[in-house]
Amino acid sequence: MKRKYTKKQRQIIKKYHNLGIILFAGVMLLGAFLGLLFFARPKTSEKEKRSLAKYPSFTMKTFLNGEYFSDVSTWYSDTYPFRDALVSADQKLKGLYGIESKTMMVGEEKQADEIPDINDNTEAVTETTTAATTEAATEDTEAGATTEATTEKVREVDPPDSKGMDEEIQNQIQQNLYVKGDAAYSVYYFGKENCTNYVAALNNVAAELKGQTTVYNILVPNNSGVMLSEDELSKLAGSDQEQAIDYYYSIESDDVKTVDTIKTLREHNDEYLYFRTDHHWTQLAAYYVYQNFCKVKGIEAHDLSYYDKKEFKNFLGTFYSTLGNSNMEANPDTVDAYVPKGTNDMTFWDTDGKEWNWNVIYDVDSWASSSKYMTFIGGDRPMEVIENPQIKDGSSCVVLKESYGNCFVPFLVDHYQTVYVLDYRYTTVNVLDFVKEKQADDLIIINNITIIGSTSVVDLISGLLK
Amino acid sequence: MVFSSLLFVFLFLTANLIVYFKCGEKNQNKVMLIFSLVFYAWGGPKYLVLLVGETFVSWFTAKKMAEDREQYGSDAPVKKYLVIECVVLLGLLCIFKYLGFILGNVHALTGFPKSVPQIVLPIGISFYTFQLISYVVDVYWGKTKAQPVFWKLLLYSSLFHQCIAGPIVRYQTIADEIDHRKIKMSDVYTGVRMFSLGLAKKAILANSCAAAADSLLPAGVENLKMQATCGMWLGMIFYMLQIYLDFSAYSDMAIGMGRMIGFHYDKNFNYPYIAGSVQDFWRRWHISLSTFFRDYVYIPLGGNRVSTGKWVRNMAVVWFLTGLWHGASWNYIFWGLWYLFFLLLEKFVIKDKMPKAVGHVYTLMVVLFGWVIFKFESLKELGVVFGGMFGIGANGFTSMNVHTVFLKYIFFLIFAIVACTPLYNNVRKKLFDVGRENDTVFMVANVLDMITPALMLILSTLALVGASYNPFLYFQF
Repeated sequence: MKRKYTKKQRQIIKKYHNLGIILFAGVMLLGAFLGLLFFARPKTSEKEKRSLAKYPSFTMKTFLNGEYFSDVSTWYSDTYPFRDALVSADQKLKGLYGIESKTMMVGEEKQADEIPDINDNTEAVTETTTAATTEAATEDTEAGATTEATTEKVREVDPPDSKGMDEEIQNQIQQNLYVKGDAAYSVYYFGKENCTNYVAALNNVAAELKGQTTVYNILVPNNSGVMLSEDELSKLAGSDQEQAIDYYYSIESDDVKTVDTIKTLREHNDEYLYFRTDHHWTQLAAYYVYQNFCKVKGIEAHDLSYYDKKEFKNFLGTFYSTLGNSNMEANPDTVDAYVPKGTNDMTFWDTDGKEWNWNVIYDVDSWASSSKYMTFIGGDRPMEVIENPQIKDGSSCVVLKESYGNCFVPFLVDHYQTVYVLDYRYTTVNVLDFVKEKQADDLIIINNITIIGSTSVVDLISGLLK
Repeated sequence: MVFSSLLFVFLFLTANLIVYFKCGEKNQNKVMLIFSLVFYAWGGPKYLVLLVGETFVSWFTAKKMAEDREQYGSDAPVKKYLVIECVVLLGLLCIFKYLGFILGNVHALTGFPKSVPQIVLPIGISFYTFQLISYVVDVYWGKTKAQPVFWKLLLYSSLFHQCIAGPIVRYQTIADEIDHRKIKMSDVYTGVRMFSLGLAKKAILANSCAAAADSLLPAGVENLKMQATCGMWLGMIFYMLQIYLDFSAYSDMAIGMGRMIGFHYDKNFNYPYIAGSVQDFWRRWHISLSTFFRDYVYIPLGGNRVSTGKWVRNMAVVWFLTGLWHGASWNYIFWGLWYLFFLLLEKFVIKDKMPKAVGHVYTLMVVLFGWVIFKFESLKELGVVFGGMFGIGANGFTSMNVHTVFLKYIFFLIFAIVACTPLYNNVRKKLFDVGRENDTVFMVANVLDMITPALMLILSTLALVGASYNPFLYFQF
């Protein structure tokens, strides 16, 4: 043998190897011990903003096909004690994998549909629209005697599978991110079929509510479409958002009132209109769109100075959660919130149906840096109601929205006696019935353009508006 | 259950080792059997019947062979038992693994049958079927004695170390160790080190390679068409690293766990990516599978001691089967034939004429494009990537997306490539070598050896918890 150690050396090797076994066994026992501390297992993750896997319930079927056991495995690792700390440590390590470049493209590019020319309005849409309208009309006649919409009971619809929905939306908006310094921009992809179906649903509801309630549609662009220069935009994959919004608006029936967003926002794009670390727009951007809305509705908008302003510093939003970008960490966002004059009180109902008294602009100063956008109207809830005691004219509106609508709603408070807000992802009421029951003056449907490009969102909205 | 999960490491394996070392030598095999059955049942208890049943058939046929030979002498006609064994085991493998594929093809050609049944592949069936066949054939050839006790053969076939993902351990390798194995501390240490390095290789390196490969090569023809040429190359390089690191990590963990309790399984990988020729590659890649086909198919067919024509036929059979073993889809068959082509090329055309450096590059290219064939079960996707890598139909030469991924993983990529070479082992050996004369180096080598297992386990734990990181944008609680 080539390698020969002295007796002493062999003893040392043996000693260190035994120590190595002891150390390994120590770590393993510690890990096993931690794993058994059921009370220390987290139920939710602050860092990821989600509930963690639950211990599966036992059924014979899932037991036999192995699903039960695989869920147990998922539960075990998903709720391992000190999860958030361990995840952070792992992300630090992953930071050593390479270099974070100043400008980068994250995610997959995808194939966008061609946006049709506005001038040759496609027959398909009108066809679908008429079909939908006729269908609705027949339904109405069948309803027969119950012409008084108010007496009609609000139909319940099946609650959406919110987890699947969230995942789908997340994939949509974060599919393809362009990162520049401390800001990320999501690339938009137009989808023809979803566009057609979405507009058909809106046209249908507008026809249905004609003469009773005015339907407004507000399509909010992504940050890339507003904030990036033409030059940069042309380098990105994806579709032109201005063209897309124009197209959506152009195929809507005259019963749907449309509110310009992207043209105004682009004029102001030297201002703080979108967060850099989060995919939402700021309330300042929502203000400019509110001004446009007032023009369409024919009322006078309040000046920005009319409102009390609150400031919540140190906001690191969803882009940061996904990317863990150090430039963002060094330069967090600030959430500016404008408190309505009439009232700051509101009520919301959570997914369990529990009622909460809350604030339109809630003080989130002490909240986690990832949660600052939740200052607006209590975040995403199945239903929120804001009563303005200063207005006694019985006016009301229903806002159908996803999270982009949250910072828009406060501006409406000073114009209606009652503002009802429904988040279509969590609500279980049929919106059409609801609007009729409340005899609302306006139905405002406000959505981000990417989110309504998702098939499941379109299906969901169509379902709620039928 | 997979080895690279927290539940396995911190609950199953920890409990297994504690009980094993506390239960006394007499009960150790029973402990291993019970744990193995629980482990197998974890993936769906109904297939346990299949594993136990196949083991029973193998135990019974081998026992019958031994009894008949005892009774009627070594010339006793025992071939029928071998036939029964092969028909039952290969038949079941065909039904569970290949029936859907065969019927799918028949359906495409003739339109019959109307609907193709979707059969779920029982976990590990490819591995334990081969293990059991090798056992019965070895008994038939007189290379090993039949195991008289059924549950001990079940221990061999179900042993959780290798039952579901290999290596394909021969019965004769561990026949003696089932009843007589000694646990030496040096073995325990080697086992612990191999296991922890394997775990880290899987949890940190292979999983990260998979993430990079998946982001560069997303599923779906339309999505793949959006990728640039450089992105496809980078994606395939990550995939090539992933598949080796993943598979060899599993073998390392299996061999390591065996060593901890006194089983010595043979090496399954020997740095395949440093091979100098395709033939060399296959001597280093999944060794337990290629030796299985060599010993139980190639040599019985006559091996290379036959006419050239017959030899080519033997090779074709072996490589067709090798391809088919990896999955019931045409791309795996093409993948096997791809290697057949280059092996024949090396035998008849290249011979030893290729310079060493060129040989390495050529081998890596053959293997890389082999993985392209292997990765895409959909022939359309395969076509897009194959063409795209040569700039045909790809979305440009490169893109910002590709640059981002490349820079984000640049140090990792270098590290992962180094991890495919024997560098770490060589440095470790060198340190101990020099250490014989130099006390400081000797201490460094020892301290490194001491902390490696624990450190790898900690890092792997971080990676495994981190792997479930899945932020949700819209959810609030």
